[in-house]
Amino acid sequence: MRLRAWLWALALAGMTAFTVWHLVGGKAIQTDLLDMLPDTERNPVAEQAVKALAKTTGERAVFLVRAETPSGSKAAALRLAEGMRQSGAFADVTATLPPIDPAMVGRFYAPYAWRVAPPETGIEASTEALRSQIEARLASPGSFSIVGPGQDPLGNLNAFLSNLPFLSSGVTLEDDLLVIPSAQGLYVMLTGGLRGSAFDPEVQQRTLDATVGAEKALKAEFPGVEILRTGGVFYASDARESAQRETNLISTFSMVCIFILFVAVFRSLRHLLLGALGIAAGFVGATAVCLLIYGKLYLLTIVCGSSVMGVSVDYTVHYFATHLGAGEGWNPFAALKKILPGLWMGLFTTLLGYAALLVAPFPGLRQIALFSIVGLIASFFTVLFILPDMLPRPMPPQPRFMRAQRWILDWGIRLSQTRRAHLIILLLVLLTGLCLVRLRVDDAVQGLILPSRTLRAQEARISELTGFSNSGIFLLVQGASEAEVLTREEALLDRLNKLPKTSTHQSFQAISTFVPSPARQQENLHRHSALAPFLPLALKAVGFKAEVTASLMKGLTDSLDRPLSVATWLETPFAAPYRRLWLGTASGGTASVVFPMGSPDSKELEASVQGLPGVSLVDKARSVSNLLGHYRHIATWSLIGAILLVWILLAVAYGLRIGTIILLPSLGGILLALAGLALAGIPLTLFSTLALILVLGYGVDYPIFMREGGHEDPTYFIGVQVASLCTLISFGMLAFSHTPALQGFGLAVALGVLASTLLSILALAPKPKVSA
Amino acid sequence: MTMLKPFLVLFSAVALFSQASKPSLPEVLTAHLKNTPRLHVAFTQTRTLAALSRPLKTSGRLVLAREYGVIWQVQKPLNLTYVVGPKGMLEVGPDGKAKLKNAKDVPMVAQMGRILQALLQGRWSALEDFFTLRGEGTSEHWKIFLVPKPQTAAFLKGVQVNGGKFIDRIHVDEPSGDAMDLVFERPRPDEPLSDEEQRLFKFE
Repeated sequence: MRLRAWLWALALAGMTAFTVWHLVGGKAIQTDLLDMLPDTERNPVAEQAVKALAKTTGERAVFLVRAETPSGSKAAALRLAEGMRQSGAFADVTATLPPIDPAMVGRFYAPYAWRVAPPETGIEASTEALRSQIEARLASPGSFSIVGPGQDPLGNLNAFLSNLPFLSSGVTLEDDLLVIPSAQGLYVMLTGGLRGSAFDPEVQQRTLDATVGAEKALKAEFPGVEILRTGGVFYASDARESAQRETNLISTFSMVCIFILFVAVFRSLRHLLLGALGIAAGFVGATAVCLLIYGKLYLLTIVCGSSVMGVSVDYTVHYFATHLGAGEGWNPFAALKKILPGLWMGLFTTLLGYAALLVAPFPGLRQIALFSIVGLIASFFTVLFILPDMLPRPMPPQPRFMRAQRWILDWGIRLSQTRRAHLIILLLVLLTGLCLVRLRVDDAVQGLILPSRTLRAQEARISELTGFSNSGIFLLVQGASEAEVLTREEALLDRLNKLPKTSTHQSFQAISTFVPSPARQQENLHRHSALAPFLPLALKAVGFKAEVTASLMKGLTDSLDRPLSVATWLETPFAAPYRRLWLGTASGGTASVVFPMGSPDSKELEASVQGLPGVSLVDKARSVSNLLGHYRHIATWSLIGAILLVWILLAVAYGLRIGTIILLPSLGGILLALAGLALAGIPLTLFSTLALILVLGYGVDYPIFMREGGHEDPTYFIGVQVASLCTLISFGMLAFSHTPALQGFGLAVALGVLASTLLSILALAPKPKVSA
Repeated sequence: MTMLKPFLVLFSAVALFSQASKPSLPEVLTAHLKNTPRLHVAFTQTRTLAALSRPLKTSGRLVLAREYGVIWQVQKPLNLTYVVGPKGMLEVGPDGKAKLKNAKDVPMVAQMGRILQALLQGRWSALEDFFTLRGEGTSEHWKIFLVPKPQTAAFLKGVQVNGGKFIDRIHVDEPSGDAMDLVFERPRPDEPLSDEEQRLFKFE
């Protein structure tokens, strides 16, 4: 063997060791979808808020437990919590809550009563009006309030307190448990904190094992118990598992098919093993380089990458075909030299297709492109450096097979040159073109992930029961100071509360509900001060003791310079569930978040907050979808550009007429791919548009090789058939993926390759000049 | 009425969803209340508050109609009417101005009617999750003691209901030491609803 064969073999061995060492830990796989997508928000604070929220919600798992009776539900929930705790997989399990002591909330707000609670709207500044309000408060049936009449004679503070959204949204406290009554029975809520990131496969495995174990034990103990769960960890682990399943299925199936094909065509164990070497070299090289550069592989890269090996086998196949056709006069190095121009041309045009993806500012796509490019080059190098040394002897001749191939080739050429065939092709093109009217376009990010139906159903049920949505839609409020943010929030809430209350947005969580803006606090104080001169008389008339009145009036004076600030409020234990609403001061400004409860309609919300200063709607899913649409447009123009570029390249290499004919099969492939998508009802997405670019890349290879072989030599024809079958198998398998984006991608490539292979025989139609 | 809410929220859920099991002693003692479709009764409410130098007395009348809800009408020292029905609550102030609280806007209010009725009609099981109930006496002369469970204790210290054929008296002790006494008099179970009452019940 020559030195460079040894060197390349050594490099491959090194990359294999590196890859195995990295992958064995299982930590090299990135399941965080957000990480794969580009930053979408122009507003860095919004991007930061999205990430912080994803982290806080992602690191908890939520469970709802329901048994046949309310007391059964409670017992079952406590039992599940016990099981989860014993497993050790959770950092904490929260089942019981200390009851939110209403008296504590009352004590906290009492000193700020005059600032936070507005007086009754339109109340007259007179002793009589105040007296009547006090009497009404005391006369109403069973007015047992949080703050007694001595501290809140007018009832304004109690009105403010009872409008605070504590324990709203269907969740109530019972026996220190969070419970949700429903028509089916009583659900009890539990939450568990993960020991680490939801995207860490180890954490996923431990959490899932512990959950499944605890649930199983619970079902044995409480027959008929219903357990609902949701959480980022379940989605991430579901995505990872289904991707692994698909990768295994796709790679195993295409591997087996490709091996069968090799055995049938080349009938030699040596070729089979060398073919496998070519594929493995591509996969290992690509994985090693991506791990070296990125440290982690996205799930989509692995699934897409497992299909790239079907393409990387092409170069090996063409070399083997030459071996097959050479007969006794086989010289491995001369043969390589003969096919090398075609191989280079093929590699170059394919890489051109992938390189277009590299420039997109989309981390996920870039990695897929890099993976494919490195994989193809590694396979190419294997053909170039190792294969000639491994195939020193000629192959046993297979005259019958070669005769059959020659006959097919001749028949194809004859057929392709008849006028009737041209007419049929033209008609088919028109028919295919007609299918395109059914083509839809869809850029929704949901195409990238399709969690299992059970997970989605459970989450939908949980958010229906609790009113907490996981829509990722929220309103970001920014300002120069705390005062400005709170004032802007209030303007926003005033507008939102005017919206008709529909199922899509029932209520909103906002910090200004708990802490009114300084402006509003001042306004409340001002209005109370206007009533203050009449209050002592009114209190006296109802029968209030003089010392109670005196202490009330002193409270008003004291609160003049005692504003309620967000910081003070955040320190209270009952503020804990709402801390995520306050982003605080960052990068020169202050920001907060207003959450719509239920399942909000982001377009409707956006329209209703139009024109409010400092308020922006954040909907990560919609932003990503918009971005995908934007890239789809770019990809469409890149495709058109690439077609022109390849055309020029071919025209320079082969002349305008032949060059155009070589281009036609891939155009036919693109057309059929589009028609196939339209007929299958799969929308055109960024990914299927990218698939078309690949169709162009592969589709040009086949006529080039046919052209190199010419009329007499069926060797190249065999190479083209085997290569395109391999591509067809590996990408065709992708069409069975559960991820909609990959389905479209696989189907488009498979159909495109099929059509361009069948049409590539056209390249032989004009007889090549003797010099070519 | 808003002051009622924190108290009522606690009741709401369970009042709706707890199933009736075998009747408890309080249920047996007050079975008659449940079977009264309609009741007009006068009440006197006396609140003894630490903040007041003398107890505050209010009086008025109560209309209970099983198919509609409750009218709670304060007549002295001021005019104040609360109508609680399945659609929500209507509050008519001393100035005659009506304030409507829609059941959809304030779901807690919608459940309030059912709770008030549960109390007044003696459907005790609906309150069992918040109180430990104890009954004594005969169906002619009974006493029901409601001892608050921990989550209710922030608002109430104890409730005692006395009655015979109908409810005679409700006494409530608050944790602050304040107390409320409601005395019911002149029950008229057969009196039909007046036009005015029907109009009030049919508020939209």
